[in-house]
Amino acid sequence: MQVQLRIRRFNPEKDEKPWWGEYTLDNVNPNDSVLDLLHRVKWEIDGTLTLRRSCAHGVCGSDAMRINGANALACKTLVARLIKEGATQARIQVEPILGLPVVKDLVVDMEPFFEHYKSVKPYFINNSPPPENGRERLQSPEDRARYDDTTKCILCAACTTSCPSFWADGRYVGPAAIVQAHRFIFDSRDEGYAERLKVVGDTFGVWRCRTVFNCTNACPREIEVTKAIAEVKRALTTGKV
Amino acid sequence: MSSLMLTLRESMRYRGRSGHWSWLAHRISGLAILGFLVIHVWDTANAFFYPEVYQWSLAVFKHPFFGLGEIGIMAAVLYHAFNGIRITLLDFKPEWWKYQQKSATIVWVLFFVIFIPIALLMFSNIISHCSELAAEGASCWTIPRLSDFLQ
Repeated sequence: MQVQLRIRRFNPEKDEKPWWGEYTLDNVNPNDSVLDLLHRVKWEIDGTLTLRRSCAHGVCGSDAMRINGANALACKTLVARLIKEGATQARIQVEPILGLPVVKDLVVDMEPFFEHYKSVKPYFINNSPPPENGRERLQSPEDRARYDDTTKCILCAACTTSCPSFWADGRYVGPAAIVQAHRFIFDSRDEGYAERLKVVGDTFGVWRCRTVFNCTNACPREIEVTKAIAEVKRALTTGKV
Repeated sequence: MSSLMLTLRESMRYRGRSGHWSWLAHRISGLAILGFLVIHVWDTANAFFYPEVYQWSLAVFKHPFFGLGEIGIMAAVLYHAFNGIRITLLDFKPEWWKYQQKSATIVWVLFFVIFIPIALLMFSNIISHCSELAAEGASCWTIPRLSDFLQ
């Protein structure tokens, strides 16, 4: 099949404004991913196209992009999912994710995103001495299950940059940082929940969430992001973790 | 680009699902209600400070343009109320997140079922007001003059 690929291009050294690049690709297999198509443009048509990617298998979280208007990982989005069955032609539009400064073409500056990530202290905090037998701190399967979902995050930023509250004000910590906070707040072995609740309960914390569900729909790992945020909201209002 | 412009433009362009459109409708209806409240506070304050202006504003509000505006406000209040309950429930019951799409549809259905008869009733009131004035040889489209109300 043939795909008309429309890519949002911007080179800060040459362009005053972003522009749309149009590329026609023949012999596209519906099982190709959008990343495959971007590779073909870069390798066969225009080598200046700039994008981030690493593993190309949905694990590293490097290639979050806005595909046909909504955030997704380019490597996990198959052409077949974007077209009607049996179609011989298709138009696919690719843009950088929103709310983060564009460095070049599809590459954005992820630093503000990682600053929010760091602000929730995304590491295990426990000041009590480890068990005397030198073994791990034990936890029941039920306690482990409470935060299982939020351990899956790959920090691709698809959720945070799909959130209208984040577009409106980049100081909002965003869904990804709250997911990371959730992972530790609800860990029975962790003792840093008070510090984290202080960050996520602040002006630019969870109360900026408007329950839009864009984050849940955008997550390539199918994390129930809005649910996790609501659980943190509930922990803040009830004082119970 | 300012974040306000980015948010306004991309809120329309982003291809979110039902939750995104519900959020957008919730915001627009909220702004409409805020606009109504500003006018409402202004005209009610006039009842105390400038009674003649208050009488004039009541006459202006009978204009079909404001009649249609009232139907719009009814739509905004109904949608904002139903969707507000939906959002509150989803915030208090995180485990209900899987019903997000279904709940957005329920809100729209509930909204239309209640709004359509009310809108028809309100619209028929505008029509009858205009017919009454037409029978008297006047037009409901004429905007009352403030000078007619000032002593």
